[in-house]
Order: sequence, then structure tokens, then C-alpha cells
Amino acid sequence: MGLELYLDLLSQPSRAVYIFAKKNGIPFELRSVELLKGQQHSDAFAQVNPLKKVPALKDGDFTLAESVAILLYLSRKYEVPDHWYPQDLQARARVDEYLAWQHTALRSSCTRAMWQKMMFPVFLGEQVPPETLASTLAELDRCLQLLEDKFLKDQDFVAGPHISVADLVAITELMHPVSAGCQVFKSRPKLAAWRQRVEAEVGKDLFQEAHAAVMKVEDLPPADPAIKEKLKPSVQCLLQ
Amino acid sequence: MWQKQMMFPVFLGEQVPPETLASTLAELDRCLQLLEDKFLKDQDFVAGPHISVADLVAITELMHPVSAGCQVFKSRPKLAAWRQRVEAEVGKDLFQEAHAAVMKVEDLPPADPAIKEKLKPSVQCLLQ
Repeated sequence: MGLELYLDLLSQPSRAVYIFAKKNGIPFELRSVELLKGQQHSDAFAQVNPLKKVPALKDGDFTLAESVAILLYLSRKYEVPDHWYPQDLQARARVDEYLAWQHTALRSSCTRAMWQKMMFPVFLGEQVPPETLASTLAELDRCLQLLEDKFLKDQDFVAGPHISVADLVAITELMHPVSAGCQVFKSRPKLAAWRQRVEAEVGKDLFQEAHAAVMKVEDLPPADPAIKEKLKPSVQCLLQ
Repeated sequence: MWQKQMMFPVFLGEQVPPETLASTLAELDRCLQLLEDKFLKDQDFVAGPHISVADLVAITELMHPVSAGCQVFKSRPKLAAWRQRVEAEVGKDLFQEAHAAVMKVEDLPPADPAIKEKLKPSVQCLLQ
């Protein structure tokens, strides 16, 4: 059995891994884990990732969790073009710096923004207090400002002059609140220009393919009660 | 660490609702279980048979709630044994030197009002 990638394209980090693997022609079997059906909680999947999250990787007997670890493993194993994770000491450190910051910053606010604006009311039928949503959107705004000022600055890409895994991680995050109707790029021309560049580098078709599922999330029918019961516990923390 | 007995109540003089603290400690417990079951397993160190940067990141994190009086290692012999190994590899003196300041955090006098004003906005998110 070759490389298997366990993904749900509704998840931002799953999209980053998908785009990276496809763009680099890395052969893999796609194993779909449908989060909204609670499939991440199955015993079978726990064998692959006891953390019960996607993306997850299985390469022969080797299993790996955490999108950043997976992206770096793939870039090393398949010897992808240098710009994705540059060998140069400081260029690489810039990518590492973004990858480390984004977990508790942009990722956190993008996930909560999307869930509070879309998933809770539409899918789970649960009202989110307006002040909670407002606070989350303010936090998202703060992170976007940091993304522009500290990371992007006057560069073409997040960690330097060339596209890297940092850009894939960033763009897939930003598409999350976009799918929920947040006008992330409208008032931020610098980010909008960066997005165009990333889409051009990735290829429009691949970019759209990776985002097809999440862009249709507003058309999801409300979850049935059984699913609600299954999912509610693990998403309660997103209500803050 | 901020919620328990320590930074919010002692340093900032701000009460933390008991249910908030309880929920945080439950979350900490959940993470400690994952650390033991998914990462440490039967290995000597977090990422394999040898100490790595992962162990330094993990141990310094765990010493944080310890400094606030959370008995992180008491009920978890596997983690306690791992801690001993990490301290031995790092060297007891260096380990203690690195943690001297945080272990004395309970002796910090309450913050003066100017400092409180300055710090409060950026630590509010730690109250969840």
C-alpha cells in the first residue's frame, strides 16, 4: 500500500495538504474522512490518528498527524522544488516562523469565525450571541493585520519572494471565513493581490477543486439530531 | 497557569469563576492524556528513544501549571518518569536555573494599578 492521505476538504489544513500533494504530482490514495458525519471518531480512523483529526497520513506502516508535520514530511520525501521549504537557513526560518505563529493565531480565528457565522446557526441550528461573533471577527481582523504587517509586508509571498508551504497554509485558512461570507479580501487590497498570486502559482483549477466543498457549505441541509449529538461536544470550544 | 491561584487572582487581583478554572483543568488533563498515549507511549522521550527539541518544548510547558500548584506529575507516573529523564539529560542545575523565576511566581506582589491597566487587555483571552 502506498501513500494514503486522510482528508476532508472542509478542513483548512486538509486543503493545504491536498493542494501541495497535487501540485507536486505526489501519488497518493485519498481516504475521505467526513467530519460532518463524525467519521473522525471511528475506531478505524483512530488507528491512523489517535488525535482524531484530519489531515492524517499513512505511508506503509508509518502514520503521521498534524498538517505542518505532514507538509514537511512530504516536501522532504518527494524532494519538491526548493521554494516550497527552502534549504537556505534564514529563508527556511521565515517559513518556520509563519507555520509556528499561525496555529494559535490565524487558524484559531478563521475556524471560529467560520463556525460562529455559518456552521453553528445553519448546520447545527444553534444561535451564537452577537457579541461572541463580533469579538471573533475583531480577533480575525487583528490577525489579518498581523499577516499583512509582520509576514507579508512588501513581499510577494508570506515568507519571501517565492511561494512556500506557508502560503498554502495561509490561503486555505483565509478561504474558511470567506466561505462563511466574511469579506476578508474586500477591504484589504494587499491580501487580495497576494491571493491572486497564490492562485496563479497553484493553478486556478486545482485551487477551485480544493475549495469546492467548503464554498458550498452554506447549502448544507441542517444536521439531523443524531449528528448534532455526535458533533456538539467537540465543537463547543469554538463558541468562544 | 493564569487562571489557577496565580496570575489572575494573585498578580492581577482578578477572580476567576470556578467553572472556568474547572473547565481549563479538564482540558489540561485531556491534553496530558494525549501526550502520554499518542506521543510518549512506551518511549523514553516524546518523539523517540532520544531527547529532542520536542521534549524541551513539552517539559517547559508542563512546568507552567506546576508553578501554579497543579499536581501534573503526581497522578501520572509515566510523565513523572519522563520528567526525571529529561531533567537528567538537561542537567539538574540548568533545569532549575531555567525554572527559578516561574517557580517563584507565587511570591510576586500584586501588580500596581498602572501595570494592571497595561496587561489586562492582552490577557483577557486567557480567561476562557
